[in-house]
Amino acid sequence: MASSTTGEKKILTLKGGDNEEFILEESLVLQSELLKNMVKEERVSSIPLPSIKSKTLVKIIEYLKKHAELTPSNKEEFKNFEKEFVNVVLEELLDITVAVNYLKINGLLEFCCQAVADRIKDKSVEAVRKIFRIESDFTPEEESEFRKETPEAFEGDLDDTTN
Amino acid sequence: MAMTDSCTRLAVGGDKLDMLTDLPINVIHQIQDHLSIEDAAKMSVLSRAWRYVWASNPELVFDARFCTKRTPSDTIDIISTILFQHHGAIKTFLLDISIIPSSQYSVVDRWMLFLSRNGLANLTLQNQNNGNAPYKLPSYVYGVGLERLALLNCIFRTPCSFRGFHMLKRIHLKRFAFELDVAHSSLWMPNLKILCFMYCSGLRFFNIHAPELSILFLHSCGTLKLSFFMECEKLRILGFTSQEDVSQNRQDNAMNLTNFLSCWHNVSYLILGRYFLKVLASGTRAESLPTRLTNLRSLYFIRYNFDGEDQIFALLRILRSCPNLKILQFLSSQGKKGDMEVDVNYFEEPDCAEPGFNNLQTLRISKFYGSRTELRFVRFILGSAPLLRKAILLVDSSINESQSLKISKELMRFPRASPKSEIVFEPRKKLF
Repeated sequence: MASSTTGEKKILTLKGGDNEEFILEESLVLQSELLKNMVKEERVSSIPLPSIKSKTLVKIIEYLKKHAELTPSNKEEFKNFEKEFVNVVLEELLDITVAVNYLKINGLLEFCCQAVADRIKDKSVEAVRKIFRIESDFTPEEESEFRKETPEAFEGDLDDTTN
Repeated sequence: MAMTDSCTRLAVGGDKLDMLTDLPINVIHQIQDHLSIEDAAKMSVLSRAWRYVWASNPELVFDARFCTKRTPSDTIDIISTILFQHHGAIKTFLLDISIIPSSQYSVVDRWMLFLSRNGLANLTLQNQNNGNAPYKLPSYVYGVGLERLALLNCIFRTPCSFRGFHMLKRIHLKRFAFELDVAHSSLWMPNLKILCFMYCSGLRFFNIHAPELSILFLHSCGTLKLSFFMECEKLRILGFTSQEDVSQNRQDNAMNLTNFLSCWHNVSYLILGRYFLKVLASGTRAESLPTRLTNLRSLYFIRYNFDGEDQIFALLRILRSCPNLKILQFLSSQGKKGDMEVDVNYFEEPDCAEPGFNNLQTLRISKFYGSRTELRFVRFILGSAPLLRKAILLVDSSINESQSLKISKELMRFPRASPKSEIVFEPRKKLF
């Protein structure tokens, strides 16, 4: 990973869940409200993040770097990067979302939530269950009753259980 | 199943939570905010754990897309059902009432009553349909600790006891009428930061006290009483524009603008419509404004008319009062492309010798006709702004290619005070 030790720039170490260390400039992590507060209040040089997998952390750091380089002239490029960023398997996307929520990186959280929403959008209940592997614990009677209670949601959805 | 279980944490489904269900509740709500109401509501039948997740989302958005999909009476039924099935606070509520006939506004009143008891903080009501009668806000809304309020085509009839929204941070009103029971009313809004009024009437009866205000924008609001903004020392962004020329007898109010600018010394961003520029800077051209706007960095003119003699005076006067101006923009300059008999020599007279733009970096005219006055003006700026980086001139579509070539040739010959200046001369992209 990044091990830039240029000039007087402050360096910080992040420790991922499996003890892997990531060295990066302190200015990068300021995008995270959580880390910002830690750095400012306690002047730490190493922050353990045991709940975040290293693989997830790699992705997030990649985002922070790209975001820090964002200027009006490379907006397009950044948008493409963002698109690619969330184009990952579902588990990974949800891992990232949870981690970003924990780290309080608001812009990225918003973007991840949109990406998750895009995978739910216009899908039938059955399809969403299948994609996210949610097991229904309703009895069939219960389910049809609940469906009746919120009819506006099911217009044109009744026979759509394939996808 | 108890409702409370599932609303605090989704732990009902046993140990085997799937990844989506396992997400923190604030993240799930944020995901649902990106879904249509239909898709979000559907999620309540995913499994037992999801039963009340959507119903506890503190944000409810019934936008035009949702409200116009079915008949008005169906829409009303659905919104009522959703509201009364809701569990917990509704902090943000957006509703488009355009399709609701005014005879049924009492339903909206009832929703408002419900919301006023359920932690409402951000309220947006849109009433786009011009033919629809304006909606009168019911009295209980005034008792709510609102933080943001955005209303389109509504009526504000405050109860006598109303002293203002004390928590309010932002207010946006469009096509709005203020009605009052008493002759004058003072509203105390200690937290208000942003105030934006467009096409509002009845403002003159109101005194708004907002000491923290930092953004003020008024568009076509008729008679303004600016005195109540006098104490707003923290104003940074200011805009006064109007659709049509305001009649002469209203000038008194706007004339005060000049004096007020001396109170608002932190203003760094100023947007002026044609009429307001005129009254702001009326007077003989030798004078500068009574106050110097030393913090002003960006100046925008809306519907500026290069062919109007009074406009040129006013422009010169105001430019002379802004020594630190960095950006000067003419957003939609107006007027015929023909050359009016404006004495363009103003730009070369001695009182122009001390122009105020030693710091000017950008000049932008978004509808450039290449008239004599415009060209003289551009030459004047190019010749006297030593730090100018860009002069962006977007040519109006009514100018043909050969005319535009002629103009560009002339432009290239203008002497430039800034060695780094670049002229961008290109056709204006059609936006609409």
